[in-house]
Amino acid sequence: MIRVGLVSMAHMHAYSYAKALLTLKDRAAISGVFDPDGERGNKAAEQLSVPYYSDLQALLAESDAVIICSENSLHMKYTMAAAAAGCHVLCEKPIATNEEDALRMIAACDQAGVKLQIAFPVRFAAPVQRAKELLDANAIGDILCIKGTNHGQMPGGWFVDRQLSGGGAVMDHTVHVVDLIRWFLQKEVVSVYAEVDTMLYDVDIDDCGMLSLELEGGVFATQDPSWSRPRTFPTWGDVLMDIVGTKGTLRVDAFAQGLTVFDDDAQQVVQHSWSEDMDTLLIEDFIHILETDAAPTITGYDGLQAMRTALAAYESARQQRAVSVTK
Amino acid sequence: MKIGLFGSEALLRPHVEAYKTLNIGVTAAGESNGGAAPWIASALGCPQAASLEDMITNHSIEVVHIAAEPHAQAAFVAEALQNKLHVVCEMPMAPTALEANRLLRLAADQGVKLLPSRVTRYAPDYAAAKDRLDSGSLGSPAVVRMERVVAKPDDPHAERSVILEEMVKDIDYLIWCFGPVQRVMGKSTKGRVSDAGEHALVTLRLGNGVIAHLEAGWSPHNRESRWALEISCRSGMITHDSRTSQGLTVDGGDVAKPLAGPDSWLLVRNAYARHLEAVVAQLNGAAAWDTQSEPMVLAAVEAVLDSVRSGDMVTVSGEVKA
Repeated sequence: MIRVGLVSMAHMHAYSYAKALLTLKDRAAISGVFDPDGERGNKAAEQLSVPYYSDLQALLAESDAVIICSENSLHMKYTMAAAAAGCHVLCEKPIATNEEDALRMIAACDQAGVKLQIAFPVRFAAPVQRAKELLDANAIGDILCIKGTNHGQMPGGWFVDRQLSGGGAVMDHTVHVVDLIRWFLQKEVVSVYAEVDTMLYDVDIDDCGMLSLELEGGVFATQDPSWSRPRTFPTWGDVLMDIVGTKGTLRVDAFAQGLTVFDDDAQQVVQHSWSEDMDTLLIEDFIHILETDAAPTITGYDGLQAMRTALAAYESARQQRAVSVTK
Repeated sequence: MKIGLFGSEALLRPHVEAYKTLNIGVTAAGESNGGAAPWIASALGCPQAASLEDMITNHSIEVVHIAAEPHAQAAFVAEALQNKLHVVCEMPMAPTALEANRLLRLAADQGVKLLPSRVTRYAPDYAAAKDRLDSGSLGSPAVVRMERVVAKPDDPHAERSVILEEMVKDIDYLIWCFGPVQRVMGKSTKGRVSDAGEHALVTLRLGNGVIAHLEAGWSPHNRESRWALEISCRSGMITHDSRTSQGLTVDGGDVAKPLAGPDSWLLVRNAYARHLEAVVAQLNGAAAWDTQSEPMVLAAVEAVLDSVRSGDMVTVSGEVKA
């Protein structure tokens, strides 16, 4: 039985990961919740019927692994603490808000001999897994270019506080698609050009953008990370990729599996998902890795490269030219 | 008014349908590849012309409606203007803004009308989106996404470009809706991994700040044309996708394949017919035609092509801005 501590409930995905852990009854248990926000932490602990810890070290002492769902800028601090206590880490994306933090996290986990996995659950969605199989089998020939979107609604809260999030829509919604592109193609992003702006909301952070990516081997891609889904949009957003190959075009829509519900009370048309929960699949994978002492499916380096692309996008927008991405 | 129809078969087909739809007589018709055009003659019941010169010399036309590929079209347009004919021509009028300006000046000098096509503006779906946008209820626009993927042309050659011939229609629409293009970042598959078709993904920044993403494809494996539009605004969003707006679909059966592109829209009067109606009204003295967008559109296209070559952002030359 693997004891998993929840470190901060700041990111809404924490609740989904917790729910997933509860389904793994005989394999994993939630050791408790730590959150510097006592009210939030206590409430979550109560909902999950687990202890609340106001002291991180006390939770780490009772845990084999932690899931870190804090504000982005605190990922480093909590990962360092977990590694020092010998706890494996599943860290919400993006890995960090700057390169130095990410490199420290990776080094600390390496040195401590604990696993660091980055939470890119979209990889686990069945349509995405099938797309990977088809691409690996050369079903659409050589890949020419990819058009990606990871749209969303404006999340508000700490996501629009630059100190805590490290960036707005571009930081929030670049990393998923970049991770998928890297995973599908097994190629790195070489350079980025980006338009980044705040045009949709009265927030002091970017809420829209457009990235143009050059990849190794002559493949290129674009990625739209905008928080451009209106409040009346039937769901939170999308992760969509059109992959153009020499023999065909593959479209993968990670969140298409849903019912369309016309809800008079809500005065809205909503999408009601019936897909398998990708967060659950991510958690199962993480627990399996710990059970079998396997290498992380999604490494700290994967997280680093996705974050580097987002940071390069901001730099590109500042300089108004394409900028290189470190490998 | 005596109208001649001249160009390449692929580009002429939807125009021929439009003349039929509106029951507008054509005085003579010919193909720009030098061949006669019996299919037009039989469709419109008009004589065939062996060349543009033949049409001008022997058929007493007053207007020539040209629909040819951009690199070939400019010379035909110039020839017609020099013969003091009014000209209606396909978008883009020419491959460069400089050449478009030269042709517009020539038309002015000759005292004749030169009407570059603005067909996307007459597509009822695109026009409706602009009307909705202009109503203001959705607030200011921020991010626009457009796509246009059609079958690869039958006669590809190195000069042809999906950016110049297909994406240009969406660039014209963007400029119509949001004003001049400031800067662009373009990428195309041309000259990369495979040259079987061409697929381009382009980011544009418009004068009013709007960020636009355009996709254009000449797909070698495409089974069906598709086009889509999405405009995200501060208080809402407009989306339109040809794949989900089909008024009629038939699975199996004995049905001829519909025309490719937006002209396959099932309408009593499609975009080409609506555009032709406006052209005829203009030739008969109605309101002015937007000719000034043409150099702006072409300057943006040239900037995209420069960006594709250089691999970096290109600022659109201010000289041709309105």
